[in-house]
Amino acid sequence: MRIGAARIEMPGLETLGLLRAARPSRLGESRRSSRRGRRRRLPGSGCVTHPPPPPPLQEEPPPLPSGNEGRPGGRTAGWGLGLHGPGWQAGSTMLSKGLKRKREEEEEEEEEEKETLAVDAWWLDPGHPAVAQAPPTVASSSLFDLSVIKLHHSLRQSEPDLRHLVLVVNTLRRIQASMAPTAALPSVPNLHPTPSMDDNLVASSDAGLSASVASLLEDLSHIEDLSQAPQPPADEVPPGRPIGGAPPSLGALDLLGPATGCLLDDGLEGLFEDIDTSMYDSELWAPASEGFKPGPEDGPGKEEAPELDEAELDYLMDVLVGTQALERPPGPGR
Amino acid sequence: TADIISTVEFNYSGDLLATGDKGGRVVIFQREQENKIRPHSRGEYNVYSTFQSHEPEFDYLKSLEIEEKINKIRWLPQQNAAHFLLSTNDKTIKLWKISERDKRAEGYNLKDEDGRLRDPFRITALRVPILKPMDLMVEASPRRIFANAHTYHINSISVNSDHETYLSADDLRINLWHLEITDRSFNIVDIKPANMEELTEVITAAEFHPHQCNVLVYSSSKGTIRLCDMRSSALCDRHSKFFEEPEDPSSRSFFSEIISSISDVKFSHSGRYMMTRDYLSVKVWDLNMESRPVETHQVHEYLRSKLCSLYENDCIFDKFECCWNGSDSAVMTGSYNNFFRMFDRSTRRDVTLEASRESSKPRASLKPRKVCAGGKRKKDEISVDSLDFNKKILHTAWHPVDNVIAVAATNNLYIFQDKAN
Repeated sequence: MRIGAARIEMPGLETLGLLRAARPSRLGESRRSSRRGRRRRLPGSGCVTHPPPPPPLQEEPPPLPSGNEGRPGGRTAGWGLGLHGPGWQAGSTMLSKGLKRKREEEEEEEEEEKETLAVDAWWLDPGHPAVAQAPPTVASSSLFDLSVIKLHHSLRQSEPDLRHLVLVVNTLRRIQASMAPTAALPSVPNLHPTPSMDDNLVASSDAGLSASVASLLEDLSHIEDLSQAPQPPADEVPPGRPIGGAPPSLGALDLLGPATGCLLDDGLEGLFEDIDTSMYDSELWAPASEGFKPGPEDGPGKEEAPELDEAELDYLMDVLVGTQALERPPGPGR
Repeated sequence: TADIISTVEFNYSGDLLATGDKGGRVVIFQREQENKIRPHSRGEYNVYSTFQSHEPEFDYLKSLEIEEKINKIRWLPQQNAAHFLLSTNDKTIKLWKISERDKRAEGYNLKDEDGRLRDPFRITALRVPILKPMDLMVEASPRRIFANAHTYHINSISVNSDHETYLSADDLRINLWHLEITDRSFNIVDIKPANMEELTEVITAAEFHPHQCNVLVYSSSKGTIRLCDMRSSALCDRHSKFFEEPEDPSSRSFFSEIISSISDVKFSHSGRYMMTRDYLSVKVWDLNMESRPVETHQVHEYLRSKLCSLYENDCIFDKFECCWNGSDSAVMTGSYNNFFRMFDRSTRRDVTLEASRESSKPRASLKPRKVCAGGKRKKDEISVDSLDFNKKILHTAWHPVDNVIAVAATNNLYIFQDKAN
């Protein structure tokens, strides 16, 4: 590929074509295909009509202490998440039903965006100059809340995205390790040892949350001596592992291991030894199909609250240990 | 949203370009040949075939709907007049045969021209049917369906250089298939822990070596790549090589792991290198050196200070792909705001271009773009805060020989070529 000598550029790149802008009615003019898409679509449907997806989490930003100046320069511009202006461009054969957000909504969004950006610097290494500008304690709790909500949201999916789940869980463990460095966490490295954080945690304005987390950790540490449930029988086939055409049997529901004092690891499975879950072809992250109980309908509103109360944490813990079947998401889960 | 393109792939000659979308459709474009009547049309890609590859399914056992979105398409090398490709959604891989029909037989003895069966008693003479030309018709038919072998979501498929086998990878397992056999596959990699709560890592991408049919690589969510040799053991749980770059302590953060998660891995055409894409960079690895990459190209380093916001809106989990050019001298990957980046490995130069209607009139030259990370914004520069994070270019493809690229921007496909062609 030729590159310009004086400047970094690609002078030779030209546009050959812009394709797929419209639905099948315009495609295939030169060739007749015997296997056209059989799905019928309403005119104007497809990519265009719906507005950009809202952020998957809390609508209200985490509360900030007063006096926080936010990022240097005091920028207020939003992220440009396509929130301003009409929705996505339609193909020429379809009506453009782009959604124009009202001005009030835009301003509201901008304000939220501004507050979101403000906490950006807090998570950096304490040695980082940007940290001095943001009080670390409250922001840590915000990221913790955010991560728990993400975890909760991910678990509520009918089929969680395993990669997303694992990354959020690992991040949550890191945050936790930094928030409670004295807890017994043999496997989790303590990234940001801040000895003062413990005291601040208790004394912060988020006293309710801190108390919940602290009491939960204490409860979990009492369960450490519960014996581990017998391992599920080896269902993996012999070496070579040719697997049949039928869905592979995954054995009993995999329950959690012994407690390490961490919010996400507990030894509660000893309590549920008598529950026969072998008929469920499921694992920790997948819902049990038959054990499906219509639980309390939480609705999306519950997820948005940045502060978790004890009931919320209890529910979350129940989901993690499998006593409560995962609920079907209220709307399209994806 | 069914139009959103989810995969783009040139075939081995580059004459065909396949796209898959969220609605389970596959659209194949064909390159126009030299044409005296329309001399400027050479190089254009026009629709060749469209078919519905996957439909939404319902798994009754788990009460789950299985998305019809096409995650990957891979072509098979051409062996006869027909073309074959593999397309996959989260759970099922299908082998499609695309063939042309430009003749039809006329003069059957047992049926009329309109297809009605003739009464055999009325036939007094026999004739030999003759072949007559007809308007070209392109038919796609499913030849094999490889199902029920994946518990988790399939993220990769890769055809082996032996042209007989291929691999499919999901979050925790990699299976080896024979193209002729659909009712069984061999599991060659399994990273599922005995206790699921010990799960800390998933498989994100996998690929066969382009020449050595016993070698494959797979990447993980922790930023590591494992190279496996199927000759050393039937089960490749133990790797032959382990590639990981040590973390830079000065840039460590809570998001270090997420941004190190590899979203794509691609061997070079030569087979000597491989390229990985993580959230902020593209890395080129020499297969002989496991300790660190030989090249690192920053895609959008200006996002490093925005990771918290990108975590909040989930953009930090976006999975970008990357690709090599035919001679392995350049690599390309996508970014936000419909930007994509090209890196010339020999000259160490890079460029940012935009795929959008406004800047892409046919035959117009693309103008290089620049993002202003901070400070004073120059004219024609775009500030980081103005970037549109809903406009992401996740899928790009480079013609195997020529300087022609295909860039998928949401539901639009852009094709660019180097004017020097």
